[in-house]
Amino acid sequence: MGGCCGQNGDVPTTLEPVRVEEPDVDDELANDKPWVVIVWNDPINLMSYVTYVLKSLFGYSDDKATALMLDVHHKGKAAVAHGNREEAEMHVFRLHEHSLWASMEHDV
Amino acid sequence: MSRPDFVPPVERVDNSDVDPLGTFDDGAGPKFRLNFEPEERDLLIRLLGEMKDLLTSEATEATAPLLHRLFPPAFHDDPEKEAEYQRLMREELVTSRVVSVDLVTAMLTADPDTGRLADLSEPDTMAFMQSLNAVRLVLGTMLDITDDETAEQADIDDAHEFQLYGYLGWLLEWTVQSLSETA
Repeated sequence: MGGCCGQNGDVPTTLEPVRVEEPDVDDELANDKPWVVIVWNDPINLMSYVTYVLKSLFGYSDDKATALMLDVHHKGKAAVAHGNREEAEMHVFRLHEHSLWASMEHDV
Repeated sequence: MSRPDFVPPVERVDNSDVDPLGTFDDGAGPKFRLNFEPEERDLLIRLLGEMKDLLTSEATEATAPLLHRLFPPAFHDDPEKEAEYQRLMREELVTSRVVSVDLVTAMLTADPDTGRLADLSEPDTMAFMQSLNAVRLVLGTMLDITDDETAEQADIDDAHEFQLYGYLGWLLEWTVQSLSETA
């Protein structure tokens, strides 16, 4: 991979304080980093069922849903969706409706 | 997860050449036909009824693990957010599951005049799949299927409960394949 960040001419040569614009949002929103929705492996749900649910809930292609299902199966879990807290909670809820072992955590 | 290499454990009568879940298109989209014997319908209706009882009753020592599996935690490392999720979503999840169980029970109830089941739309069939899967999940949890080893053992154990578990998996696999083929 080539270099990515700036050119020599852009490097600041002084350490003067810089005024930073704070985003005008409240703390709760500012802390609402993107969330990731995880599906965990379990020995009961059928592989075909998990693939079908991922396709129908998220509109994933057969290939993508199958790859995610295999990640769950072989690695124990897979990140199946991202979003803000509200979106992630809705995804988790719908996965729970379909009896998949789903949870959510901050995307780090 | 487990692989769908099931052998039909329940002997089927007079319909060996008929899919348990036949599909066709009547011009207005895919339709699904449940080709079940009355004994199969009664069995599924009974299992759905038992799951509804489980969903709508207070947890006991015996049912707590089953309810935990039906309502797993959304937040593994944040008790405060988890309590909030359960407070806001648990009742909605119970309602959603009960509505689905009632719908599927009606689907499995034959028309008194014709003795037949009504053909199903795609959303109906998805509800059927969802409830069937939940029943199988509860049974699998009761049978202590907790890892791939116990899941493989369940495939070869011929005790009645394991046969039932195998039958539900076989039927679920049919349902998923039927829905996938029409998608």
